[in-house]
Amino acid sequence: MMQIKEISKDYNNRAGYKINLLKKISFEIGGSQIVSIIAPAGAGKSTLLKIISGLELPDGGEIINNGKIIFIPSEPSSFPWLNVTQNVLFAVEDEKSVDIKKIINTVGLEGYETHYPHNKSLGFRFRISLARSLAHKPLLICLDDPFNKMDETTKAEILQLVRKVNHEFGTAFLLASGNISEALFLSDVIYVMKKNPGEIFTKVNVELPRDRSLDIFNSEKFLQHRNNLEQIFKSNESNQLLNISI
Amino acid sequence: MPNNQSIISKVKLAVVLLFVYVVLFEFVLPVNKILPKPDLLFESLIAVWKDYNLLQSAAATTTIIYLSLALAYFIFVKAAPLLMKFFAAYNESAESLKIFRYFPAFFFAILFSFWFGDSFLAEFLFAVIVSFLMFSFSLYRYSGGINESYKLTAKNLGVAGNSLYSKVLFKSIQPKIFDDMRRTHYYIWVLIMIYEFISNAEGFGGVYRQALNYNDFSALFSIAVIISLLILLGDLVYKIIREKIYFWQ
Repeated sequence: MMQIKEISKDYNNRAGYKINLLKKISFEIGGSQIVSIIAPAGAGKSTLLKIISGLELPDGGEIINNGKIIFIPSEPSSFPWLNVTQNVLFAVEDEKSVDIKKIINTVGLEGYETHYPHNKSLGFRFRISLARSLAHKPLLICLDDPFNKMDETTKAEILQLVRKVNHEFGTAFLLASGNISEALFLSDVIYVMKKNPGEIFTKVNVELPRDRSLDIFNSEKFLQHRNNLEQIFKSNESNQLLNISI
Repeated sequence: MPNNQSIISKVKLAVVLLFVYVVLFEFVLPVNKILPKPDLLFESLIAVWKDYNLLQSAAATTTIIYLSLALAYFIFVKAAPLLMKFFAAYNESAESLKIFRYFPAFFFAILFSFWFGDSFLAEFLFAVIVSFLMFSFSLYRYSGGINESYKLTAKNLGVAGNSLYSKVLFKSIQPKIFDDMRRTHYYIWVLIMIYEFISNAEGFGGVYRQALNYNDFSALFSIAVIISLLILLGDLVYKIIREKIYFWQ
């Protein structure tokens, strides 16, 4: 269990005024949960993920965890001068303890071990980033809007891959996204956040089956829940706990 | 690497230009001060090797240029993490160094020549310093535009200090710096020839000075052709290295 307690972050705008970007953000992430934060652009999702990953310091609050947290940026950064295997093992302290074959097979990169990512697709590079994250045996993997620039086919593959990795490795995920459908498909819990200042105002428990196929996107209930979430997302007012099940 | 089509079109263009040159200056304007007569030029292309001891001069110039570029690049790669740290920490000071861009580099060639005269070692040292500075300017230019996701990923994975610079940040811009090195290569050729010309040192620059003194019009052109071929050869080697070693972008 990981706890994020009352995280706040301020920044100075161009005119020199202090702006409250994140205001007392608190939530929990269970052992192998997939949690999403959906928020409009500019609400501070990326900053929040960077703070949770230790890449930025908060101005207030604390993070209680006992493991490694990996951050995958919106543009997955597989290093183009390293091949797939070298990328996966990058900065790993004890390479012998990593079951690289299992990791590479799980993310679908078998047969590409010696390939370089510089001229490969976004999906391929995301797979490398995911494999490298797993090699570090993390408690949590933070995904900063990773599907934003992917085409629909790749996005569908990667959404399923994240669920598969979560299932096989028991790794928790925290997704920051502005896309309700992606969050609904992936998550066990969704937090809805508003901007100015960035603040969580709704928690949604998603009670969908563990094994989720892409067909779910077309189900009537899924579309209905998506519409409900869209309303909440737009309202910026609700302060309730929702339970969604299909 | 250029494809076959582009090589063929370049060869075609060269053949056409050669044909026009032969027709124009062999038959239409045989006596002129623009370009030498083709038959004289072709004769000169063979004669200059003996008349001006060109093999030794070519060896001197190319050794200085390519050895200095290699040595400067080797030192630069080792020093790059430190330089990047310096640029990050003292951006304003580094920015003010840009003023040297407006200083004509051949002035330094004159200065070195004045201080050390016809010295092979001084010429070599001059080439190493200029190359190193050129690489450093490229590093400064590109280190401000490094992909943020590389920094975040490396830091998140626990890579810090010198390793962050050498294993990630420098690596990410190395192909661009190598592309600039191709331009530096032309620049060093010009500077070294100016240096040799001023100090009358052994090399292509010195040979040019002699040819000018003798009013050897054909030799001036035939040496230029030989130099162009050597630069072209150097450029091809760069392209191959870029393709094979610095393949990412």
